[in-house]
Formats: sequence, structure tokens, C-alpha cells
Amino acid sequence: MPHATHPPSPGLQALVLCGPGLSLNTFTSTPSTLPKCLLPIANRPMVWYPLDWCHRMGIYDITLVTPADAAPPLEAVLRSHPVLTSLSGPRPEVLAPKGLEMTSGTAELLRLGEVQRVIKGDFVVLSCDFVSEVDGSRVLQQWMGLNPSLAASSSSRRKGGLAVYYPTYGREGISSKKDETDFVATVPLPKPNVMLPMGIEEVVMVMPTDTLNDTLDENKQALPIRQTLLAKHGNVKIRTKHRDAHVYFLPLWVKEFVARNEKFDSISEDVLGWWAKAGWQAGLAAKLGMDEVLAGKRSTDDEGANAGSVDEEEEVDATALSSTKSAPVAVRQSPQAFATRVRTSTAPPPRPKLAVPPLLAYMQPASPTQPLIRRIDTAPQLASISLHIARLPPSDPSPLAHEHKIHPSASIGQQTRISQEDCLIAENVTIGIRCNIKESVVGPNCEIGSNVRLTKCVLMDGVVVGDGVQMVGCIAGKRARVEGTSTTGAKGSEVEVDGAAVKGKGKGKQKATSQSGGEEDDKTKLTECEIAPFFVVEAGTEAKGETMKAFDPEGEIGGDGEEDVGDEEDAE
Amino acid sequence: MAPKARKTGEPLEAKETLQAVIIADSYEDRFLPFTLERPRCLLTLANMPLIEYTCEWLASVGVEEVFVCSGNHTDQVETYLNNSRWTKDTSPFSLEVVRSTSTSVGDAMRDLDQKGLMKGDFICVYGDVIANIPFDAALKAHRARREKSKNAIMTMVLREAGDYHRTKDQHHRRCFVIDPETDRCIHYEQVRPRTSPRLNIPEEVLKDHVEIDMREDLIDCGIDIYTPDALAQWSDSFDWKLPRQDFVHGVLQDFETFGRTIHTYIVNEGYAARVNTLRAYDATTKDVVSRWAFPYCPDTNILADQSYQLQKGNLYKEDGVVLARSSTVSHRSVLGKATSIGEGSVITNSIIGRRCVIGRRVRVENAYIWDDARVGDDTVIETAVIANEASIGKKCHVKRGALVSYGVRIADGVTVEENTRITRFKRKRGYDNNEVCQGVTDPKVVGEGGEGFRLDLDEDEEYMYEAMLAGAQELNVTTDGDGISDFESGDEEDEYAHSREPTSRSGSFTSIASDESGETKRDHAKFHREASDSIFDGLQREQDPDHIQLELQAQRLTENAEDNQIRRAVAVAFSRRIANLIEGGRTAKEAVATAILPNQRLIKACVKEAGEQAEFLLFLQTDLVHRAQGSKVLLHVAFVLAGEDMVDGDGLEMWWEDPRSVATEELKKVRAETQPVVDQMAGESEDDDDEEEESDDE
Repeated sequence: MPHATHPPSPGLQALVLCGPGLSLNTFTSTPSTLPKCLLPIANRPMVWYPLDWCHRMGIYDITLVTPADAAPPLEAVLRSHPVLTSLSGPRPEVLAPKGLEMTSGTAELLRLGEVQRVIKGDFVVLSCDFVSEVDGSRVLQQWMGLNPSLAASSSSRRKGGLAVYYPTYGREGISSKKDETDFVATVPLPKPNVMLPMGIEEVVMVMPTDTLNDTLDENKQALPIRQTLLAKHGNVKIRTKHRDAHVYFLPLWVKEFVARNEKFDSISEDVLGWWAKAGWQAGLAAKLGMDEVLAGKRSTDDEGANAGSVDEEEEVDATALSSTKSAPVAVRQSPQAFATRVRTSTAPPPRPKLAVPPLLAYMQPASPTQPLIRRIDTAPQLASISLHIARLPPSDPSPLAHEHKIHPSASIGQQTRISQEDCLIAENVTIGIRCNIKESVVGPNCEIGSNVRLTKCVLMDGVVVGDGVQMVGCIAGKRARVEGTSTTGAKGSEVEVDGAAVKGKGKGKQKATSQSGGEEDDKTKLTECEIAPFFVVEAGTEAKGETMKAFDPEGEIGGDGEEDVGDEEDAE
Repeated sequence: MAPKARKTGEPLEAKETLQAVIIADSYEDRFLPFTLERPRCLLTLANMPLIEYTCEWLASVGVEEVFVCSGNHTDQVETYLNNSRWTKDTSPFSLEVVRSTSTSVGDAMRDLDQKGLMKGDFICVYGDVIANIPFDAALKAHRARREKSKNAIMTMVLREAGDYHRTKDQHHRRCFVIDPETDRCIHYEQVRPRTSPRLNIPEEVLKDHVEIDMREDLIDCGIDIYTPDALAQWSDSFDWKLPRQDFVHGVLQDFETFGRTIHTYIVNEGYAARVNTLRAYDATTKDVVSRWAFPYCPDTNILADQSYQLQKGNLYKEDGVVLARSSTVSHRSVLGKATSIGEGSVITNSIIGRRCVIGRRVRVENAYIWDDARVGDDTVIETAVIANEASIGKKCHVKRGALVSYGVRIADGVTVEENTRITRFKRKRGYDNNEVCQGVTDPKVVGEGGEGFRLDLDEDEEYMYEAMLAGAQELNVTTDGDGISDFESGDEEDEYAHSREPTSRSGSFTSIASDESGETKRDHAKFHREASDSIFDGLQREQDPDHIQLELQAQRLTENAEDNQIRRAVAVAFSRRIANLIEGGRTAKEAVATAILPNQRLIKACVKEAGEQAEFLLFLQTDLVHRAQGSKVLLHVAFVLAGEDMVDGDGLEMWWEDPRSVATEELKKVRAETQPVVDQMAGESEDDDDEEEESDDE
């Protein structure tokens, strides 16, 4: 997408965490050559999505944090990949802190000296696997808009944070029951004075579903909820099928907050989890050192402000200035309890020293018409999102849509059918004749033979697919090779002849050849397989639901015996 | 089971008579002492009986048939209604009073089911609901659900409130867990702050619903839409009593088996409140006066003979009010017909009924004075309730939270302490709860020439005691804004340290009957009430002690009570019996002798070892604290017990040295006179030892 206009910079900096990607290990087993953040999603490296998202909301101060061994390939790609180089604005910094391992937690990462030094103001933490059609600047506006008015209600005016949660259900083709989920409890914000926040709520409890299950097991299959929560918030909404998008708008003080609490391991579970609880669980904030972080920061603020930091802007309580809206604060403090409906006296007066800034969250409603937000951390997710993007027509308002469904530089053989509306063919792709490609993404420099049928497949860069191969729902890693009927030559032409015949007949013929001839002639049929980068799938392999990796015995089991059975089924 | 009701409930026709049930009896004691003489639904709120508000709302909703279920004071309810406009030809609905002998809402529902009066879905409300919420949508939603599934047996109509609302019951926080998609209530829990710091959400609730709302900000004023099926559910479970704790909870628990669902309809406009505690009474009155419950305000003049006019500052005056020139009546007050206010009196924030006579230089603040009450000159009345025909003398001071019941006379110059309840009647012990008898005037409370006595709450009725506390607590709040924060559970400390017991009496009891969870406490309270009632009854009828013992044993087995509970029940029963005899004109000594001597076996059966004796004495002492001539009685009891060898020296000594027996000033006072007996007995036992030793030597 062209960036015709640059929105004014909101003065935030972004940290994009380029982590390991454990669930995508078929494709990322060697991070030094192909880290997770460079895996292509719909023919763009994964890291493009968060970068582009940041750019769209006007954040250009971006730091990519990555383990040391993944840094060189990342930098190389940033310099060379056409999609990335075409991003406007300054090129993002790559930071590879020394202590950062592939296994480090996200909060641990924030505590590292190098990272701490990089953070100079309010910041956004993103994961490299974040794909979003939602306009980031709208979310950002909400965060900025809500902050002063909220913070001003207490004596210590501190900014809160904002996280994003998306529903894992209610979207055909993308939602899957197996998706990871988080447990998140929220309360509605007090009625807004000026604008209606879009789905912004305050988080009071959050934990991954795994932790929830552990808690349930410990407590006789029940989730204990503290009274104090309900005493403070009468209307708590619990969602169990939403997921943390791992996008956090955080004020500067969080840096220190994380640094102080050595036991925090991950941002999503520990930092947010404790912060959310500290808002209502009395004494917890102090225990976490929040009060000191909030108060202590104040003294250094002045220096920061002098240094031109954007952190502390003049905070104006818009509520107090409004002439049409009475400030709720004033009503609360009224000593006459009976004049108002609100039972003022029962509301415990906020303790000034422990006013915990609110942790807000944008809870995306579950509806198929909502713009997409997803995290890609499993192979099925990668496939489904790639295919979703492939389905977008070039005219789609979605920022993720590609300009060319089939790149002009692709060469396509005769009588090959490609369903334009749901396919994406990248540059320099060669496709043989009489192919049938539906709902697939074909990466750059792929070579596809003749008579190939691809359905719901994702091929990454430089995949070679031999003649007559049938693939359904497969993901093929970089430079993977799926061998076809045979090497080109006489046999290849023979197949072509077969293909030219009536379809049903052709099949029958092929079955016949497979029975009479050697195994070499067998068609390669792959269904729902994951093929690791550089892996070679031998001709005649027939597999379903397998992960094909080097030194993986499973990958080798083509199952000679199964072939015939499969063929027969197909014929029927 | 009610085959009739089921049959008739089958087809849901478009044209269906809308029926409603008013549960006129609250089956609770929270409005004691007023409810001794009148049913709660006839108490006046802003000078109109509560049931009028309820009926008015039902009429506005379009109800065509109303059944009033009454257990207690049915005659009064019936008489009132028969003379009201609801039974006239112009009444918007037909009204029928259903007499039943019910002792709980559950009984009433089962009665209804048996009678087969309900033809289809119906509204069920209490007789103390004040509401103006729109209802069509709720009814429509209910019917739509019903059409889809026969299993949607009930809809609870709840009013959304903020996190804090003054009519909300602070002691029984109700937490509804709702699936917002279907409005189904999937979990219900009633939490009592400080007793259970956690709320448990079952796993299946979390797993089966993608989104759930935990609502604690809803005002549940008991407005339900029932189906005949729900009524049948009541009949199926004979032990269900309460519509929420038992019914809703029970149905939800059986969801897996029967698939019956309960739904909620959340209203976010209009007013809805239930006057079920004194606190709620106070809050609701303020709301009505401040016009939140419009059109139910005094100046609507709902009753035919009313003539209220609204004046500046929410001041409502009826015709014929006589105000002395120098008197001041300030904002948010209501003055009934023919009430007169003397020179220099100041009325603030108060409701005064009809035909009241307020003297000169009287100060009335945040008070409720019902019809025909009299207040003498120079008296101060703070946040208190003065019932019909009560009269307060000159130069009196009625302090916060005091409740002065019907016809009580307070003599001149008397100070009524905080949170005292003064009445002329009391419940007859051991008989049907509904019967009341005149109590004996206590001049200490009402002064010479006064009439009435202090009604003590049965210390064992925790539930009721709490209710009273809630009332008093709110009354406190009205003038003392800071006081409340001590009681509210916002502070973490409060939540864990369950320590704040507001009065000494309660304090001493928790220390004795400690370590009990709320649930068992209530069971114990129930046992205690029943057991001590029956012993007292036996004593009063001078039954054979063996007979009493037998009955006690039976009760003990059914309730699975422990020994110390028996001791407590026996001690309390004796103390009551003695007090009763003294009231009858005996001297303390005679009374003790009459009560105890023939029934020695009863005491001996439960008091054997020294520790048990000490405990028994402690119970007795605690109970005697607030009985007439308590200290004298204690002396004689101790004497008799020791004389008849029911208690020995060790027991006495142990009791005397027990820190709990000197925990408060009152306790110390009551036992002061017993000192010589203890000294003597303790000395004796030592002497005994010496003698024994000597004899050993020999």
C-alpha cells in the first residue's frame, strides 16, 4: 500500500520483538538462516506487518529486538527485500542484546540493559507475528485520549497502558478451535465525557488459558474470584475465547516497573496480569513497588522534560474544563449522601499514594465484518492468514491487500487455470501448462511444473514443484522441492498426453501405469503437509497430515502400501 | 405436583390474561418491632402504605388479575385491601387475597401451585416493591424465549445500578453470572462480605460460554416472571424456601439433568427498589421524596384522600398543616394532613404523617414520624422512626437508629439511646409466631409514666441481627459520612480480619460460639432458637423435667447439635423463665427457686464437669446482662446451683476466672453481686481439699 500521507508522529517508539516461534519450528529450525520474523506471510516477510502497522500510525522510531544469531539475516533482508525497502521512513534499528536467548521471556527482554537504554519515552511493544487490518492510529488515539482524563481523576497523574485482544471465534476460514486463547476479565470504563471509546475496557484480570486450567485444577474445577474485585467493580465481563494480540501501548514508567520486578517473565502474563490485579487488590501495588515507580519517576521527570522527552506533556483535565459535563469526581466527594443516587459513602476514597493507572484493553468484538487482527504463531495460522490475504481483491480497503494478484513477472503456461480471486502469485514464478491452482499463495521464484494441482497451498520462496503433483492444504518451506512424476523428458510428455485426454480417463490410465510401471511413475500427492525448507519430497510420495523435515523419520514414510488405497479412493 | 397448572399453561396464546402474585408477607423479621403489629406491606413510606406502590406499578404494567399471598396478619391485609380502590369496580385488575399458612416464600408458591390459580406466565413480586420500570420489553423477551424453549422457566427482572447504590443490600451481595448472548443466568451466588472472600466460578461456566458477565451491580428487587413450570418446580422441591438461594440456585444446579434455564432481563432505566431492610426504607424514602421514583411521589396524590402539594426544595405539604410562624421546615420533608408544628421547631429531611402534633422548639432531623404521633416540647429526634400513635414526652432525646413502635409512650426527659427498639408488644414464646402479647413496661427505658419496653433482638438470630445492623448502619451514615468506611469491605484488612463486631453483646457471643462459619452459625442459631423456645415453653407450663429433656434430646438429634449448644439453650431458657417469673411479680429469689429447683435434672443432664459448669454459667451470665434484675438473679442462681450441687467450687472458680466473663463492663456489672458466693464456694472447695488431705493423713 502506498503511504500517500504521513500521519503526524505520536511521539512513541516501537519495539518489535522478533522471537523464536516455537510452533513454527518446521520452518524455523535454523534461526541463523531463516528466523521466524522472516517467514513469508502472503509473500511478505512477517516482520513487514508490524513495521507497516507502525508506519501507518505514524511511528517511525522502531527497534527490532532479536537474538544475536538471528540478527545478520534480519539485517540483510531489511536492506534487500523489495517489500521492506519500499517502506517509507527511516529503516528500523536492529538490536541484538547480548543476554538475549531464544528462550528468554518477553519481560526478561525488557529488563536487559541494552533494551532499557533504548526506551526513552512511552513505547509500543509488538510481536513480529502480529498481523492487523485495524487502523493502529485509532487505537492509539483512544489510548492518548483516555489517558489524561482518566489519570486526572486521581492525585497522581500517571498514564495507563493499553493492550489489544481479538476474538478467536466467529470468523470462517480463519478461526480455529485449536487457537490459543487467553482468559481476560474486564470492566467497562466510566461513561466518557467527550467521545465514545470503541470497545475499550479496563482489564482487571488476565491469564493464558493454560494458567486458567491450572488454577481450575487446583481449586476443584472452580475459579476463585476475590470479593474485593466485585466490591470495586460490579460489572465484570469475562472472556475466554479472546486472545492477546501482543500489542501493548505502555507508558515510560512500565520500563522501571518491569526492571524492579525480577520475577516477571513475560509481558502478557506477568506484567499485565499483576498490573491488572494491582488496580483492585489493595496492597498489591505497593508490593510490586508500583507506588515507588510512580512516585519516584516524578523527580526524574523534570529532567526528562528538559531533555525534550515527549513523555510528560501538559496534562489537562478535560473533564474539569468542560462546562456541559459535571465531573464525577466532584459528585463523589460531596458530603451529602442523600442528594445523589450514588452511595458516595460506600466508595472507599482512593488512596492517593496508590492510584494505579488503569490497564486498558481494546476488546475487538466478534464479528466477521470486523477488520482482522491475528497473531501468527502456528503453521495453520500462517496458512489461513496467507490465504485470507490472498482472497483480498486489489481494490480492498484493507491495508494488507496486494496490488497484483498475479505478478506481471510471473510466467504461466498454457491452459493453466489460476483462480484470480483467491490466489496470489509472486514475481518470477514459472508455472507449467495445464495446471490448476486454487486458493493458494505462491512465493517468488517458485517453479511449478505441468499438470500440477494446488489447492489451499502456501509455497514460500523458491519452492520447486514437479509435474503432476497434487497438493491440498500444504505449506512448503523455502526452497523445498516436491518431485513430480519424473524428470522431464519422454515420460513427462507422456503425462502430458494423458492429461490431454478426458479427465476421468486420464486418471484411470494413470492408475494403470502405476500398477504396471515402476513407482517412479506414481503421482506425488500431499494433503495437509508441512514441508521444511530445503527438504526434498521424493517422487511418488503420498502423505496426509505429515510434517516433513530432514532427519525426521516420519517424513520418509511415504507409505508404499497406502498409495494404492489412496488412488483407488481418488478414482471413486 | 400440580397437574392443573401444567395443563393450563400449555399453549401460549396471544391474548392471555396477565396475572400477578404479590407476596405480602416477607417472612422476615427485619422490621421488628413494627411488624409485630402490622405486616410490612402496610407500613407507610412517604405516608403511603407500601402495597399501594406495588399495586400501582402492577396496574401500570397492565396486569389483569392479582393474587395477594399472605401468611402473617392476613386479616389486616385483607381489611386494608377490601377498603382500598383495588377492590372497587374501577380497579384495573381483579384482586384476590389468598390465605395460606405459609412460613416461607416456598410454602406460598407451593400453595399457589396446589390451588391452580395461575393460568399462564405470571409476574411475582413482593408487597414492598417500589418500581416504575418499563416492563413490556421484559415480558416480550420472556415470551419469545418461552416460545423457543419450554425450559426457560423464569425471567428475573433486574435493575442496573452503579457499583454503589443506596438501596442495595450491603450484607447479601448478590452476584449474577450471566451469558450476555442468551441473557441466561448461569451461576448465582450470594456472597456475604468478610465471610467468604472468594467467589467460585465453576469450570463449566467458563468453558461453555465465550463471554460471561459477572454482575454485582444489579438491584434485585424480586420481580420475576414465572411460568407454571417454575411453580411446579417449587412443588417438586418441598424444602426450597427462598426464591434466590434455594430456587434459582437449585434450578441452576440441576441444569445438567433437566436443562431448565433461568434468564435475566436487565433494565437500565426507571426506578426499582425493594424495601426489605430499614436501610432500604431510609434510602427509598429519600428517593421517593427526591422524585427518582416518579410518578410515585407524594404530590401525585395516588390515594383518593391525599392532597400533597410540592413546594420549593422537595417539600411536600398536605392540606390543613398547621405551622407555627417561627417554625422551620426545610427541604426534602413531607408533612401529612392536619399535622401541627409548634413554635420554634425545626424539621429537616423528615417525613411526618397525618394528625401528628409536634411541640415547641422541637428538632427533628432525618426522622420518620408516622400518623398520630406526638412529640413534646424541646425534644430532639435524630434519625429515628416513631410509629403511629406513639408519643414522645418533653425534653426527650431520641438518638440515631432508635425505633419507637406503635402506641409507645416515652415520658418526659428520657433519652432513648442509639439503636434501641421500644415496643409495647412482644412475641409469645413457644407459640405460634404470629401471636403477640403485651409486654411489661420498663420504666428504665421509657421513664416513669411511660409505656413500652426495650425489645432485644434474640441474640442468637444472627440473620436478623445483621439486618438490624444494616439498618442502623445506614442510619449512622446519614449524619456521619466517615463512619461508613469502617464497615464497608473496600479495605483489604476488613476482608480478612473478621473482627468488627459492633456491640459488646455480639462480641461476647462470638467469643463463646466462635469458629463457626456463617452457614453453621445459622444452623446453630436455628437450633438454639427452637430448643430454647421449647425448653422455655416446658418450664412455663411446669412440665415434667424428664419430658422436657426428652424433647430436647429429639431436637438435638434432628439438628445434630453439640453439647455446648444444648447448654446454651438450657441456660437461656432458664434465664428467660426467671425473667418471666419476675415480671409476674415474684422476687428474684423466689423466681430462681421456682424455676430451678423442680428442674434440677435438666441442668444436671447437660452440666457435668467443671468446664461445662463454667460454660453454663457464662451463658447464663451473658443472657442475664439485659434482663431485669440480672445481677440479683445471677447471685441467686449461683447460690442455688452451688447449694444443690449442680455446680461445684471448681466450676464456679473457672467461670469467675474466665476472661470472657469480664469481657465488658456490662458483664462485670452483672456478676458483681455474685462475688460472695464464689468466694465462699471456692474457699469451701479448698477447705474440702484440706479436709480430705487431713483425713488421708489420718
